[in-house]
Amino acid sequence: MSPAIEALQALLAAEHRAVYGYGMVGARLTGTPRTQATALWDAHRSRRDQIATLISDAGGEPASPEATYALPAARTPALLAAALEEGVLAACVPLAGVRSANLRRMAAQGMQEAMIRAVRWSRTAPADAFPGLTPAEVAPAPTP
Amino acid sequence: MPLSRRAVLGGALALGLTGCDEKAPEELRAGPEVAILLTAIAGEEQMITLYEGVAAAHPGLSASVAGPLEHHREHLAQLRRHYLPGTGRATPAQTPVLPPIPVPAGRAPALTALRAAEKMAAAARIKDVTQVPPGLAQLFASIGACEAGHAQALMYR
Repeated sequence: MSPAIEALQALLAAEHRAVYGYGMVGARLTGTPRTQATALWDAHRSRRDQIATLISDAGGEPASPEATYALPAARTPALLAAALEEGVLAACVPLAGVRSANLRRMAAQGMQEAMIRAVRWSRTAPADAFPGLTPAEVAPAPTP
Repeated sequence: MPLSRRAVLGGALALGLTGCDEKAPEELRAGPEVAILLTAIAGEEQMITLYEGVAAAHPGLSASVAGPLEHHREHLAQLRRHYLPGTGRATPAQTPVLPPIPVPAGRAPALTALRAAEKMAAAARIKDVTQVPPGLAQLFASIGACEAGHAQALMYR
């Protein structure tokens, strides 16, 4: 698998999870928040399909969704939605480092979109200075 | 036993220290990412100055700005670590200097100014990711996400 296809598959897996999770979120909400959850469920389904198409166009076999997912523990449906978005954000990171400029741009935009959605759900500012990155990814490797 | 003259000369040649016509050490060339890194560093410094100015002028906002201010300091520290002074021809004269963003007198305009600065920075990171090496691209993408998140969170202050 090329690095680009591998990165796209990781993002696709996160989108499958988000589609599943938003179904749960919507079922537990009413009124305006429910409408918002449904809109985001639709948005994640569209993004899922877009990524699957990119993978097959590149000669890959898009990963199938799981039957069920163990969802992040969250006190409220809104916080569950925020956690789902954070998962999508983290899954964009490999794609932000591939060779294709278009895919990098898509990844960077995806991370900002996911973060904005997470903040809207949680009403709290980003907790980390480097969302989605592990400590090793933040610090540069020592030069020989 | 002292080193032979030949051994010393051999070592000096390897280091390019002699006046002989040996190949000089390869000059380090600045990649395009150096300019982008320096601009991002200047942007973070400008953002930090704005946040500090807002905190000083509007003590009631200091709790709201503490978190993002700390994040921007961490961004700046990491960006500086990626920049190796002396690579290529980037000199202090070529380091971009951004003018300070004026701190509005009113509380609401101050928040608007912070949000606008965060949004602009986040937009700049999208452009940056396509022009730097992969590791730096991921760092920029993450910093951009943080900036976009703060722009949104400042709506709730």
